[in-house]
Amino acid sequence: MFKQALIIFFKELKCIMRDLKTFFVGILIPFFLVPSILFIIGGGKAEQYSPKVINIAVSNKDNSFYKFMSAQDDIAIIETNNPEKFLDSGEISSYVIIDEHLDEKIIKNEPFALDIKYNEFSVNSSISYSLVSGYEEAYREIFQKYSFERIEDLEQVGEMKINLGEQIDSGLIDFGSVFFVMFVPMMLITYSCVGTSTTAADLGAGEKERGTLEPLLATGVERSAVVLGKLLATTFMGVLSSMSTVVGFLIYLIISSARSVLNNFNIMSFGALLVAAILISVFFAAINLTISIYAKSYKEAQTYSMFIVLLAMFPSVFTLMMETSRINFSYLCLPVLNIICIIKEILSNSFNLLHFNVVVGLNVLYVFLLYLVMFKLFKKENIIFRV
Amino acid sequence: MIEIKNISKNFKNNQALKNVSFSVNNGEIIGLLGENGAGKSTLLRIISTILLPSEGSAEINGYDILKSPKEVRKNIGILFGGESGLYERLTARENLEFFAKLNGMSNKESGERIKYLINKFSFAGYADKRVNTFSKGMKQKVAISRAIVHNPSVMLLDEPDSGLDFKASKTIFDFMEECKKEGKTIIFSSHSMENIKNYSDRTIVLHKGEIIKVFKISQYREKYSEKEINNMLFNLVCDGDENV
Ligand SMILES: Nc1ncnc2c1ncn2[C@@H]1O[C@H](COP(=O)(O)OP(=O)(O)OP(=O)(O)O)[C@@H](O)[C@H]1O
Ligand SMILES: [Mg+2]
Repeated sequence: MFKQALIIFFKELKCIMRDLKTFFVGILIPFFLVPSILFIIGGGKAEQYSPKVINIAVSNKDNSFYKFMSAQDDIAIIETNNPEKFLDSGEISSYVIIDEHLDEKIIKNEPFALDIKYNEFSVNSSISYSLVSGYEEAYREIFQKYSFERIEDLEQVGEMKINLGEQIDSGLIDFGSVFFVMFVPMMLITYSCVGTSTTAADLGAGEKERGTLEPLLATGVERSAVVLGKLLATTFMGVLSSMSTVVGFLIYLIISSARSVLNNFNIMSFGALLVAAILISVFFAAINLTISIYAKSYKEAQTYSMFIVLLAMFPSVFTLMMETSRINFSYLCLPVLNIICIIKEILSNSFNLLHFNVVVGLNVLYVFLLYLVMFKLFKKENIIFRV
Repeated sequence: MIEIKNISKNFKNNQALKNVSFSVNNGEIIGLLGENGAGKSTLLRIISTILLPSEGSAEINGYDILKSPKEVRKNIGILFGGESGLYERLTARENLEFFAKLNGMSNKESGERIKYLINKFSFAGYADKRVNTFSKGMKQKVAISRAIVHNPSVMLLDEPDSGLDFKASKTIFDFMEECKKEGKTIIFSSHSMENIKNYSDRTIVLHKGEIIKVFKISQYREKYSEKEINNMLFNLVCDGDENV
């Protein structure tokens, strides 16, 4: 039986790969969809995260703030007589008006003014404002920690290198992985469902429609092998499309800035994700194939599958922000939701072997039950040959 | 050897076959004649275990279609009427290879058999092209080859001549005569009076699910002219008029 199932599996794959539509919907679109959406909505942000030098201008140079800012690698101070115009044209992104008696006020421990002007209509300027005001804060903190007696002592302030840009950058990388943990389960669920639905509709109802099922069943092949071969092929497509979503997302993270995602995301977690993707895909493959075998036509099968996609979105949206600590046993019993839980655990480094085994076992059980249903359906001539 | 015993088939709201019985010997060709909806395809589907009879049963080479359907399937090759049922995204050769494998043939066996069939039905020119580019007749030739790729001893051919040009049609029937000489059992259906008359040893006429006549054309040829025979067959098939 397994040999026959494999013969059918390979034949189905050959047919699928030759059908451009399925190939596009199943593999290329998921690969490009998520990254392109993220690039479009997050285009500005991706730029923001990459450290670069910010051009600013100051009102007067003879003070310790000027020296402090000059010491920072990510700040360049531009000479200009017309800072307003430079702000408008984008040649500088902030203009700092420095208290005229800054250093004297510091020595006397009096309050001083540092006024940062930026262009509210420019994204770049608004973003760099936060960096410059970060430096302002850092500068003020210095005087809360240390007191200076003489103006000459303020020279030391000019040698303090903080390089805030680098720190912000590494903070954002963390944000990247949070994002990853949040969205990957959802993408895996959605795309393994979408990816299996087209294939399943084709292999079940589609084959009925094209009249290829009768010759197949008239050969010596076991019906259980036919079902198994088709289930394997559908699962394979589900794994391919869900994994291409994940790989697409990873590539986005790598090229957009979050370089150290690679450090967080090693071969082990990729392997664990693959297992989860196979689990979720085999589950949806079984559901969609059952529907498709039952359906009268390709169209009918696709319509039913759309409902399943919508249903599957529920738990993934519901758990978007869920912390892994909130996972309890009832979550682990519900189909789909339980796989989301273990994916979250895998991605947030709180892998739980007991949870993993329970979920794998339960899913094997669901799929086995669905397999029996499909096998039963396959034996009913009014289902297989309805006209 | 086919033995059909009192087969009836009911679909939801109609009876497609009523108490059909007959037998076919090895080395015999049976022609099935009947108007559209007479039950020819349903009968062949039941013999091939694709549909279950509502009543009655049948034996193929001694195997009962209900008790040992798997053995029955190994012994038969069936061409279904209507759509060719070929995988459109595979080439002709790949279609044949797939079915040879499912029938448990080794690569060597199937390679030789496929080569033989390609030559026999002369489609070497497009054996390695995808089926979705084929005309109806081209598909029909491949579908017939596919049905008999495992060299079965019982051949059930539902409208094998449909869509074929004169030459291809003659090739198919000549091939059937060859198979007959090898002792194979063949049932075919056709809407071509000529092909039924020329190639069947016995003809069975189905009308509204019932066998209304079984005859040897040679019986009539002694007494009647070709024109008279055609008229009689026409009345038989279309009106169920048994007075011939
Ligand atoms: N799957 C099915 N469900 C319901 N009724 C069916 C089914 N298949 C066939 N029938 C009915 O059974 C009867 C016999 O059909 P069948 O296809 O056997 O006729 P046929 O002799 O092959 O006709 P044709 O010459 O048009 O091929 C018809 O009335 C048809 O409507
Ligand atoms: Mg028919």
